[in-house]
Amino acid sequence: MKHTAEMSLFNSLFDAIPFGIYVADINTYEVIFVNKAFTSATKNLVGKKCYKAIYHEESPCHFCNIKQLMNDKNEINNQTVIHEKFNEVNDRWYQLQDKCIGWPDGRIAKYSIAVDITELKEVQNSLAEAHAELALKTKMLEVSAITDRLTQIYNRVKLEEVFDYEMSRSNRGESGFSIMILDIDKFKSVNDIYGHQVGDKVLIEFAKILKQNIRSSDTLGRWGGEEFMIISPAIEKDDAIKLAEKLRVKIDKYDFDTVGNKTASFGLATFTLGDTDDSLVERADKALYQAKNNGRNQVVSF
Amino acid sequence: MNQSLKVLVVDDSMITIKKLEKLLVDIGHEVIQRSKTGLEAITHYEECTPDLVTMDITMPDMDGIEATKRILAKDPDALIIMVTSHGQENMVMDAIDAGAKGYVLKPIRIEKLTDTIDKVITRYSK
Repeated sequence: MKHTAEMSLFNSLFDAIPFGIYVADINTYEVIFVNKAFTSATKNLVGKKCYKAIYHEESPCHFCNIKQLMNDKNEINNQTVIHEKFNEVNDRWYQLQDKCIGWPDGRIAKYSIAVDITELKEVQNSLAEAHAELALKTKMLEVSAITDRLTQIYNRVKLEEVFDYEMSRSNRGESGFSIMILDIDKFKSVNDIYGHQVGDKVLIEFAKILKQNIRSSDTLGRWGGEEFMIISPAIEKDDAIKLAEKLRVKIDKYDFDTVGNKTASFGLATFTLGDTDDSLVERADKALYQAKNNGRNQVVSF
Repeated sequence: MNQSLKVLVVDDSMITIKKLEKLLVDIGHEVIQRSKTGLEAITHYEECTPDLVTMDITMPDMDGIEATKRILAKDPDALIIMVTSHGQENMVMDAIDAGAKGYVLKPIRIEKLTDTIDKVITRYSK
């Protein structure tokens, strides 16, 4: 008798709440009660497993918080857990208020009050998506500020930043570095004979060959026009010359689309104590000038 | 944008996979593989080299942000968009930092999905 009276009290209380409520046995996950508001939104789920009936899962949901509502001795801890959950089945957002109670028939049950907050979440979500878009655009701007538009390698801004960094490291005696300035031989004639579009293609391919053949620690960028710079940290002079020679041979052997073979000249300078920004670049420039004067397609190191 | 893309769909919920697949096909793309965990996504990515990946965040064994990082470590040109219910700012930033190129929150609306994919292709496709 007591059981029935308590039961009808529960029913009337839960039915008075204008939000969907379902109650499930915490041991069997069986739905033992749903209020009127819940039934009006779904079919009657009593007797079915809550995970299957509400979330279409084959086993208890990984986000189920029954454990959080019980203490170590498997008794109700009187806590209420409030959380937001997107239900994949009906594509709606809910704020769920979960709590365990002793059901009149003696079972321990979890009840969940589900408030549909889909409209509110739509607004919040638009804000979050706008946030993501802003972060993506910022990232793109950061990249484009240091990228050469044509060749997609670094531009002079980035080269100067890396150069300054290596310069201060080397001046502190941490480790030396080398720079090489390289220039495509007789590039002007490519533009004159084949036009600027073909010239641009040669620059793009040229950058690609360099990129594929430098060390991962090297920085490659377009210094200007048909001139490129490679900054190689922590490298001995001999190894820098070897790297330049390797690049020279790769280019020499490469068959460029439309224009066929092209060569490049390399001016290399390795940091020595007392060097300034200007003195190092000046040495690399002079070395490049000499490489050109000596007949091109060669590496000169100062 | 009329380009048809080969898509890998990653989500631990079969319901979402089916919904996404239907939407993607409606837009004109093709779903070539489906993964239910982060680890599975990494293996599937290598096997099927899709044009685009839709990535859930909360999944068993490895979350979508970690899986995004690992896929991009192997293929820096991979195009991955997050499709998730997590809209918290730190989660959004973590995903973008990991290299995600788009962020779509559930419920997935076809306009939102189309717009995000178009943007990704216009901006990043090589």
